[in-house]
Amino acid sequence: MAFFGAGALKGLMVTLGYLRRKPYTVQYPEEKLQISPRFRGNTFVWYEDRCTGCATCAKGCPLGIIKIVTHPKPNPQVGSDYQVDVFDIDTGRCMFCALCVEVCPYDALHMGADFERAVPARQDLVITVDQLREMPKKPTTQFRPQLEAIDYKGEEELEEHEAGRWSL
Amino acid sequence: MIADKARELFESFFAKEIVDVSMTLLALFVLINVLLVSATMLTYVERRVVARMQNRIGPNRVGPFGTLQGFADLIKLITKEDLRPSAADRVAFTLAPIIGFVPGLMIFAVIPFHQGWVIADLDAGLVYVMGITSLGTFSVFAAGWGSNSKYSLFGAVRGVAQIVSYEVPLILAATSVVLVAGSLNLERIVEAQGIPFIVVQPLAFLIMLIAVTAELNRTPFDLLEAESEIVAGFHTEYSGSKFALIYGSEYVAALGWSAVMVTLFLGGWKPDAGGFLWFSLKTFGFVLIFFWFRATWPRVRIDQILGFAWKVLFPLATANILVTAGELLIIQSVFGLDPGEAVPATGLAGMAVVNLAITGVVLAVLPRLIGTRDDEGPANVGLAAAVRVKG
Repeated sequence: MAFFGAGALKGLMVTLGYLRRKPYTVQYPEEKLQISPRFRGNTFVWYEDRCTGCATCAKGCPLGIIKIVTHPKPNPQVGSDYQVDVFDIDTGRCMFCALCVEVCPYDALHMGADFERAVPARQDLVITVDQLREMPKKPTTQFRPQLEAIDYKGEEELEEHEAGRWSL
Repeated sequence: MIADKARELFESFFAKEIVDVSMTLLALFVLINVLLVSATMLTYVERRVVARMQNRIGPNRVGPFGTLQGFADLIKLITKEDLRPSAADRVAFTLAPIIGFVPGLMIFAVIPFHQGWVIADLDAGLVYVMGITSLGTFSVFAAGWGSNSKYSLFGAVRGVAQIVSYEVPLILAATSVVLVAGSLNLERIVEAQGIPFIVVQPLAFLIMLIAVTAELNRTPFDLLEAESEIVAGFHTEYSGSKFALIYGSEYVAALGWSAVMVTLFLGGWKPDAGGFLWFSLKTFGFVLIFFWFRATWPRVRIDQILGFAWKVLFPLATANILVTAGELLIIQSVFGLDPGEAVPATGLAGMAVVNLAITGVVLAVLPRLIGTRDDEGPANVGLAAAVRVKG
């Protein structure tokens, strides 16, 4: 760096070199980044037939944002003795720690991969039991080693017997 | 050519005087429209080029590859409400964008686009250019003062100090070119360039490049609109069509100064074969250099800017005139030329060798004289390091 303006010239060469590089920008609505398999999106995947309504998820939630109301079923079946009437998850207050998924004794609740859930009002962020029933059954592998074992990438929907550590 | 055909056609209908006037008006009409469209396109080009230099994509939504972005912005700005602060000086506030816009266009009146393609073939063409572009200072100060806003006034005061300072080395650097060419007429300056003057007068080129960047208020000398310090400087209070004029005038002036630089140093429309095409290619290429500067260098402080103009560029430009004049005396006695006669190519070549060597020595010695900090890592990248003047 002997001559005058050498630093300025060096800077010019840096930007000129950058001109040849590919831009980092991802054109979001058209292009999307691949999400990681253990992604914690703001939806949940719930298998009603695996759920006993034990409300362990509600107890495990550090924020207390899961509300479960059940009543006994007239004709109990294997794996579900209670009918779930209310299963409200307030994702507006959720911190996505996935403890509810972690504590579920029956592998009935999984994290979902969706992240495009902007809503006009705050109360719309509450996921109701009807919404849970309709959500696509594409869980992520967050705290679900059995899904990683079968190399599941979240591309197709999983049935009840495929999602848990043991079949019903 | 098309122009000759049109002239023939017109002369079969009208008197010669009417045709002369209307041909000039037609040329003006075409020229101004080309300039306005180019300025609009350049806003897009700058955003694209700077974006790519920063690993971004830049505007790519409006039209193919985003090429119509400039026009979309223009339409948006023109259709917006024309706001004026209630405390503003009405006359100054309204006149400032117009005064700023017109000089950029007026530069092109004396620029030779091709051999003989000049709208006004002035003998004192370069003086005209220097004079007309000085009006830009009025625009900046009228905008800053007329807005009656603190930020605007800050920007305007900075701008006036900077532009007035840099006009001195700018004119001095141009003077050494005039000495070699033996004329102030831009057409004759182009004809005198057997070898492009960038080789014959490299030091003058560097000085003028820096001075023009300052004159255009472009990065790294854009501190009269320094957005990180004083909002938008002198045009803080402007919006709508007035802002469009101020914003556009920057690009028209960039085109104008590029054309002047190409005419003075890069051989204008030479080589003859391409003519007009070469000229436009060089001019737009030169504008890209300004965009390149903007993508690279951080803004310099006001004391650095003024110190650099008066302590470095001014003495260098003056010394360059002395050296050039001395060389000319020798060349004139060797070739037996009259004063003001164009220097033959061999003389230019000899001058080029000597001047390139002098420029090399100057660039090597300057850091010792003005003290750049070479060993301090990242601070050394960019012009900020280069212009730190001792004392």
